[in-house]
Amino acid sequence: MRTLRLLAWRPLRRRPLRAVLAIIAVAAGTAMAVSVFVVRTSVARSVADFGAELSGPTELRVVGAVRRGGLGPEVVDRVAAADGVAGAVPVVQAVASLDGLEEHTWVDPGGRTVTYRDGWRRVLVLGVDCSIEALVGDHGCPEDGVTDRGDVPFAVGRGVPDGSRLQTNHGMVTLRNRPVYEGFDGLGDGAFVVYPLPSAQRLFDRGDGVDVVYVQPEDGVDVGELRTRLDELVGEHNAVLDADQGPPEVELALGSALPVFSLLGLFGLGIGGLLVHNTVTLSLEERRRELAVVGALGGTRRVVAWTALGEAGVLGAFGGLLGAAGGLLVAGPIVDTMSNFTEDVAAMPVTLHAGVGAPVLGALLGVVVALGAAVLPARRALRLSVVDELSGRGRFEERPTARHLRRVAGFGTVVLAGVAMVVAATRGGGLATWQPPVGALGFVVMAVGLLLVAAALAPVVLAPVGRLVEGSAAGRLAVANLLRAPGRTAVMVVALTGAVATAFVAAGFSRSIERSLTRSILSNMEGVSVSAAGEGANANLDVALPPEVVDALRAMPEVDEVHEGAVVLAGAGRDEVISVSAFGDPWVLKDRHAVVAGEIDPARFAAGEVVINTLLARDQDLRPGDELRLPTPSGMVEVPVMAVIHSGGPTGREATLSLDRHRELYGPQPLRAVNLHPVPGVSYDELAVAAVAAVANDPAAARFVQEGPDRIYLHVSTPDQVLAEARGTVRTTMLPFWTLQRGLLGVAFVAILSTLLLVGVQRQREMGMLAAAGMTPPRLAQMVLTEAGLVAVAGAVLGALGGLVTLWAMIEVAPLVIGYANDFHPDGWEAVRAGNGALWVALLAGLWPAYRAATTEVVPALRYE
Amino acid sequence: MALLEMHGVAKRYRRGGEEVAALRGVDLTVEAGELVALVGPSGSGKSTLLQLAGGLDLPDEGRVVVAGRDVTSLSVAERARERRRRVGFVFQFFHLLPALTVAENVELPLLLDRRRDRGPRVRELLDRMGIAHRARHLPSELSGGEMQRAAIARALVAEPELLLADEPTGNLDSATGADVLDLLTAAVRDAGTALVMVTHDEAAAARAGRVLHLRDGRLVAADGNGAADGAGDGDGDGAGDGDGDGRAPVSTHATAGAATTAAGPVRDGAGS
Repeated sequence: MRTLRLLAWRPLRRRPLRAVLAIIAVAAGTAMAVSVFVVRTSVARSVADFGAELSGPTELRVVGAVRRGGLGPEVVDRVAAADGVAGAVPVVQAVASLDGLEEHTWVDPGGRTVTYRDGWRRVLVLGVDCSIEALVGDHGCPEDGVTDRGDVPFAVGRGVPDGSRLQTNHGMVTLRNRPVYEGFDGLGDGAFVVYPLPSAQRLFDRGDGVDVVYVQPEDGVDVGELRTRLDELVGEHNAVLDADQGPPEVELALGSALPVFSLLGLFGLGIGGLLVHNTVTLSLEERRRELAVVGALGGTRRVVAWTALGEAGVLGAFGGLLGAAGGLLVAGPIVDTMSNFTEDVAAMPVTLHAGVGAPVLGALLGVVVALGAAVLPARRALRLSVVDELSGRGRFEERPTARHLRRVAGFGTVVLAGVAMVVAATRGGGLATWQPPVGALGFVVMAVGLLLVAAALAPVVLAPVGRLVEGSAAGRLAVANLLRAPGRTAVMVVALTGAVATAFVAAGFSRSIERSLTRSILSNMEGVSVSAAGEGANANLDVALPPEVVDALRAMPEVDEVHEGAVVLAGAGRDEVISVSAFGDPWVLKDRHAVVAGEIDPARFAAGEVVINTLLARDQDLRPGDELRLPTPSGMVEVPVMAVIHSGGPTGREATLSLDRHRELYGPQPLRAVNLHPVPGVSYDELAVAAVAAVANDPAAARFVQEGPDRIYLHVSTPDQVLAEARGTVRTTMLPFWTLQRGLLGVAFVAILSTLLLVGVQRQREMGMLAAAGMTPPRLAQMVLTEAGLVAVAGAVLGALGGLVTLWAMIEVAPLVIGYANDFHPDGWEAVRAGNGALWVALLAGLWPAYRAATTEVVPALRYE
Repeated sequence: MALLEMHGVAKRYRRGGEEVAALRGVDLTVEAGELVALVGPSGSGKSTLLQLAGGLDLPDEGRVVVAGRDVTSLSVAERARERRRRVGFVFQFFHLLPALTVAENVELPLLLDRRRDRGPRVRELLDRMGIAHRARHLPSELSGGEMQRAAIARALVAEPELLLADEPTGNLDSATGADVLDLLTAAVRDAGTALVMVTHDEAAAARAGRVLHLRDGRLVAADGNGAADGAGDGDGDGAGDGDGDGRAPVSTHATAGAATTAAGPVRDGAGS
């Protein structure tokens, strides 16, 4: 251990900048991975807590074929009467919008001052009857049971301010002076409202159905057997779950988001590993003679290897621990984002849960990544010749071009293997279950291979680039310096390649998504959307446009047609939930770009066939011509699959039916949004303005848009506005990549600075000789800056080429992960911009080494050893 | 039994596609406790001879035997072990590890050999070399003479039987060099350690019991004519049996090795 401390760890103190940088790099990498772990833990804990809070002491719960009102009274009765059931608690669980973050006052037309609250959040609305006392204890329920009390709830949670306004399917309800229920602490920080069951059924259009029945078994009854009995009783289209199992739609939705974060985490780990590799490589390069001395004193190859690995290990451990702390910091905003999302889906917030796992995982990951990154430099260190180093013959690792080309060929094979995996994974739309993991693995293999190819190609690229500057002595010397130390050159070039490639990929991916969105939205959305939920609101949200508003819109002279839509979440288990939607003007009939298998035939679609997305096709092994078994309130229904399309997002599995077929299967649904088609001669912008005015001027509907307690959330948007919102979302999504890119530029800066400084130290005598031979200080500085510039050019060229391949792979693999397919639109100008940035970074990093070269004192330098 | 034996040792290097002969059939014997100076022009093969004697490198031809063990038959790890137990090195440029203190540098061979109770031995050597007050200093804080004394302490700390010094005073002024040589020779005599010292310094060579001349990879007589063998008389008292140049006794009876190789033309020198 003392040997390790003296030989591996002590030297780190002499290069604090590089050590700190490597630690930060590992920390950045592990922070991403740890944050993914923390987010996953937090989600799992929050979901479990939420489920446990709602279920109380019950063991099982029955859910319907559809999330809203899927269980009719006959099912509730059957469950209550089943053998072994002590109590059955029917509940409506609506996720609604609450306008209640800030208090406002308003003077109404009659001159009265009205106080109301403004600021939207999601809230859980529970509709219960007296059987709820089985869950929460005796609360004085009337003996004749609960009845519809109008808009007045039983109680509200602590998170619902007095005077808040609840948006129901029939307008706003002001919640004033209601008792505050102190229980259900785990339910969204007290953001819940409890209504009598009949009131909730009416306010949220459940008819006589309920959403869930909690089941308390009789004492001594085997829960497993009871579950089997209930399964048979409720039918295949309904489901019996563990009572405390979290909302399946939440798990499903997060299940599609977490892989993206996981990929980012892997990417970060890779970058961290790369920098540790660079650091250890440079460190060992600098210490070749020291290691030779250790060898001369009797140090074995094992000592040399441990020196390299020990240095990396300690960098990794420190970086990992720092990364764990960073991971917690990073996880905070991610958890907040997730929480916004889960609150939108189920009024379920996600809170941060860390535990001891995070630091342990961070340190472990840091050490593993760092050791892995140090293996190659350590192997190289093992090959050093003690005699050559001590006699000054082994300073430079000269490699013939043939060897470079062999390395390029070898690493090129790795790239091709990755490309082959990507191609195989995306064939046929990637509908087989093995394809997504193979695609992701292929992407990683290809990206790693490209970096290795860039490292091997650096000297090969520099040779022709160098001809541009060979006219001057400084240029010629700069080229020679870079070519005779290919390892060091590769470290600098690869650092810039990574930054340029990341910029190119991030810009290209943004551009591809935006172009695809533009094409999709502008060609499919023919009209103005009026929504009570906002663009992209989750299907699980209980919201509806008031009939008065819809009537006012229908009466507009500028409107040619009003297209409606409907969406239900069908299926119960996490692996069974499907978002089944329908539109009056279905975009699936227009956007042929998204078709993966089958064909879009409007006649067959109108006749009841279904279009499904790739995730659903993959999960249930469905292809065009197969039958999709859809859970409906009346039982399982088989629907022919017409086509499979790329479509994804938070709802995961998706199926699209014609509106008629949807209503046939699921009945009329609350109208969340309508799409207005204008009469000829009216632009979308004019129509949007007219729509707001029409509602505001309609005597029955005006109160829903005017300031005051009845104002609802109403979102009117043209295709351009939808596009602008979508672009904003894309840019926000891409922010982590740009942060990463800037971090990589910082890494490249330090890599070039430290490498050129190191080279300067090693070339002290050579500098002295050049100065003695008459090279002026400006020329010496020019030589160093030319090296930096050449490295930048090589990095930019290789980064752009590598980025092009990486972008292609990312576009190919993305649909397998996120569901959406995008066209390939590389951004050539970004390559130029990133290359320009790389050049400035390299020149900036070269300034200090250039200054040191220019101020070389000849006599001491010639004496230097 | 001789401590170091070299039999017909030849070493060639390949530089830029051309083969360079550093040593050509050298025979040499050094007895335990003997002080041998190795002199010769640059490129004559002096450093190469030291490297082969210390098992840092292997000869292309011939055998190197240290304390009865044929170094050429040992694995890399075995040679490293032999080196840290039987051989000490002193370099012209000291080669102290810059991140370690003087005491830690001196301790390093013991540490590599996993010996216990290293502290007293390190302190003893530092005292002996007169640099105990510098024990906690980094090499960069020492003068040239102090650095070389620390390097000698490091070379002797494991009580080697053979000390190989490559121009130990080459980087020091004459006064400091003389002091360092005094310490070095006294230490090896007291410890009974054999010393093979490459030097250009006549005064340094004069302290040796025997002076060997290398030219173009061959041991030669002091006048540069003919060949000389390196077989010493083994008494370690500096009284050689040769017909030297009057400055120091030099052994004779040399047989030079082949000057050409099967691999192609051989250029002289450049091995040291």
